[in-house]
Amino acid sequence: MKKFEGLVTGLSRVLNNIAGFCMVSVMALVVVNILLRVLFKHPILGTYEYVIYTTAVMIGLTLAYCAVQNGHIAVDFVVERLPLKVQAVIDTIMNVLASSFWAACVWQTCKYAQKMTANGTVSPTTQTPIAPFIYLVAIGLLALTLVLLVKTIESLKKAFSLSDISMPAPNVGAVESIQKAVTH
Amino acid sequence: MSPISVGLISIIVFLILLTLRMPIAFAMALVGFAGFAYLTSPAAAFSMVTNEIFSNFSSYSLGVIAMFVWMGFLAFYSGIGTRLYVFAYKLIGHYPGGLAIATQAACAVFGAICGSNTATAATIGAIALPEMNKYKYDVSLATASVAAGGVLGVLIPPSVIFIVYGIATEQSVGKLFIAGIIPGIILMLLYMAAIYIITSRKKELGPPGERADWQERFTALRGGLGEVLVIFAISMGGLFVGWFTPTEAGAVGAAGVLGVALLKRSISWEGFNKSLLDATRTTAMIMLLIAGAMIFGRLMAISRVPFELAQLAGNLPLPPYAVMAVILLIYLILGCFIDALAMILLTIPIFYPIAVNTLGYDPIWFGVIIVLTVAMGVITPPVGMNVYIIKGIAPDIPLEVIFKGIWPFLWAIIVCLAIMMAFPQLATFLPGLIS
Amino acid sequence: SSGSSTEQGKKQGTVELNLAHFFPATHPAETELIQPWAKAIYEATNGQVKIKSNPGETLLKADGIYDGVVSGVADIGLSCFSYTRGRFPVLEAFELPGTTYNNSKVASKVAWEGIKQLNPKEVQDTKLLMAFATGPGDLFTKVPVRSLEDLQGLEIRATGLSADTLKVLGANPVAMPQSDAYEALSKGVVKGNLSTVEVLKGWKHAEVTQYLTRTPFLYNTVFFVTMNLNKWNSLSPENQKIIEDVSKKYFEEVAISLWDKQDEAALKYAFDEKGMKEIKLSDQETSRWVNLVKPMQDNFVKKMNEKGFQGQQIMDTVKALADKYNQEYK
Ligand code: NA
Ligand code: NA
Repeated sequence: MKKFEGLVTGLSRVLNNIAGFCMVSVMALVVVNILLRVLFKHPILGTYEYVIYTTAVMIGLTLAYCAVQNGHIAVDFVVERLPLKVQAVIDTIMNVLASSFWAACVWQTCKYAQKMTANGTVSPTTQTPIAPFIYLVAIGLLALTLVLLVKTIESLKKAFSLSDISMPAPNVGAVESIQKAVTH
Repeated sequence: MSPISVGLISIIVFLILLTLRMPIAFAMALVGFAGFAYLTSPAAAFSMVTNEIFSNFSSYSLGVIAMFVWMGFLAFYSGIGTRLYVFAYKLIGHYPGGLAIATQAACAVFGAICGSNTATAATIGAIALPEMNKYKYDVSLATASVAAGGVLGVLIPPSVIFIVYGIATEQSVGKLFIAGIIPGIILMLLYMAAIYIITSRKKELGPPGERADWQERFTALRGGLGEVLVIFAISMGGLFVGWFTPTEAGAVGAAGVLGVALLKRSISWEGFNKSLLDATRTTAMIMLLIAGAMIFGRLMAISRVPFELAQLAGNLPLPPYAVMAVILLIYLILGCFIDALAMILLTIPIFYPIAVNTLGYDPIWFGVIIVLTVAMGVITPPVGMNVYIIKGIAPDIPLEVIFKGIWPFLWAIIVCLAIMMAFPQLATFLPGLIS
Repeated sequence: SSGSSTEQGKKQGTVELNLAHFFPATHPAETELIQPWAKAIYEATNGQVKIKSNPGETLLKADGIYDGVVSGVADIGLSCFSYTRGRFPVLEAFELPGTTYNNSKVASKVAWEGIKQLNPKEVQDTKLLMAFATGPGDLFTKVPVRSLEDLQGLEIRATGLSADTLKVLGANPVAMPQSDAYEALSKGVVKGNLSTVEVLKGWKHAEVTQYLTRTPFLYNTVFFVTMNLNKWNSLSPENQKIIEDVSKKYFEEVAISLWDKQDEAALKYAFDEKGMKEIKLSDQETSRWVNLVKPMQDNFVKKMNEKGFQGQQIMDTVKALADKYNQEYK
């Protein structure tokens, strides 16, 4: 189990690193395109399309690591007040619901991509096939599903034993100081 | 079951999942999917969901959020934000709530480059929150002031919401942009007044510092403001001269901050990586929320809840100002559940003819009113997009702490609305000049 | 009588159909075509078929409308074929530059007749109710374009096929969505737009451009109104017949002249209120432009042949129909 957890966290982190690279690429592409357009009157025609699809991939590949860091915000002040055991049961149910929903979305997103390949849909201007980008988003959703699966197992364990095994929450940078302020 | 009942039940189920700690984006997507599947078919609902996810992730106008968010984190990790706030503190830190007041000015100035309330809140939030915390500002006040300040981003041109409104109602986008300037400044001043009033009463909310002398201020100015001015001049000047569009301004801003930080050697490799980590996390959170809100909005569209609600209001036998009040109330209620842009698209077809054709209100003025009303929607619970954004930047601050701080700002918006109702010329005067 | 027909409809079971499109609720496509057409169907079927319109992308985004109808997200959809490039390879023939369309009537007739004649496989997964077109588009710019020379290196906003067209002509196409075009034109990021002139009023581009060069051979966009096959098959043959008849009537009486009417209003607005100047190319200049874009049609034929279609036959159909209807609607 620990191994599976580590594997999932590792995978999310790798995907997130690729997403970071996408972020830098989008910025560079837009700026280079502006320079080419203003200085040399020769913009890159495909910029608009490359930017939107790279952004989509960037977001898709970050979803999982965002979940690892508990970055998908939730309202917790109600559940917080319940007994720990009840909390664990509620979390288990929510995690099962969410992970099955996203699992279904992974499968459907792949089907969507398949359909795009089959009917030959390409981007309007550069005629780049769209399907590969959709598959990459599906990979991101798959990783998200796996993270939620780990969380399901965790909350299930808690519900039965209340033993504390939790996914290591990595440091969240900018906000450390604020967190400290809130805790004291 | 009638579509309306399905819509209403879906709202209730969504609220239940929300209180049971399901991430908000998941709950919106899941309930939106389920309700849609019930009203059409599972296959259609899946097609809708996958399409919304990919098309929102790959939306050109939303993609700009990513760049602005990264710009904010770059400014934080390179210390540019800190130096800017040192200057602000030396200048007005001796007044109660001085930094929160300065933050409103920052939001307004930033709003002149950025057309999105989400991006404004996220960018300024990444810079301002750690700084206000350093000076022992109350967390509730600090977070709420940024969440509310984000709205200045859509009142002050350029503005995504004015563009959407302009297209939906065939009004001049240029006039709408100009119409937003005065209300934007008024709202900024009202925010500042609200902050000043509450922090004067309870000094510990925004503790005043020592008054700095002009020597100190000048030193801080040289250390902090210069680089910000350079970045701002590039972004603003480039926009004005026509080197790039507002959608491209985010990338220019991020590149500008990175460039300045590299020149001054004020960002480390580690800081750069952390800025990317925070920016991707925050962007993914925001975009999944938006996709979730869109999915939920599709369910609302076929369930016709907003449509019926709007028709109900339109048919009320009331005097014009009362009908207008009901319209605003409905926006406030819908704003609790539906994302700003989706809400405008769903309701404008019904409200616009009532307000403009039947009641005879000015279309440009009505646009400003709508943006102000939407502004309330993005900071009120349970679905307040800007509050969620701030929560995403500062994950360990409980949502209710941020919502608790919203009150003074909500009142500021209501006062601003009242002013606009009483003196419509404030919105229509400037656009009148250009025609 | 609509009250009693509603009652009757309820007895026999009313089918409610959701229609999705991207035009704003105030656009003539909604107010003059979709709403009256839906009402006519409602009345002719005695209230048995009720079509509810969802304008302004509230149900589906513009590029997701066709596939949304296939999968049943909406029961009926109205959008452009060209939003999903590659999805409708044969229909690209109707939008290729080099074919002159006098007006939207010609372009609409050619498109709908042509689609019925060619009956390509790509649209057989839905029940096509009508296809109509914008007809010719023009160049509107911040600097006068009187000849090919004026166009060289000029930044013009265009996406898809139009970007290819402008590249061939020596302009500098800049791809961005229509929603970004106003700002980009106003600040001069781009110097012009190639589109139907409706945009001058609808998107207020007349506020930010000064010259209009007429180019009736450069641009065309074809719209579809189409229905989910299962939903179509679930209707009674009588109701199917009624929908086809009403659609035919609204195609002839409204759809084909929809853009002509809008273009006329937009031009009046642009010339009279915004002081735009019209530029007409001489015959000699026109043939220079046409000669440059013609190879795009040859390329199309070649590409379609490679894919196993009858490329030449498709192109000939378009040309024959264009000749025929250009004669009919001057
Ligand atoms: Na703005
Ligand atoms: Na709200």
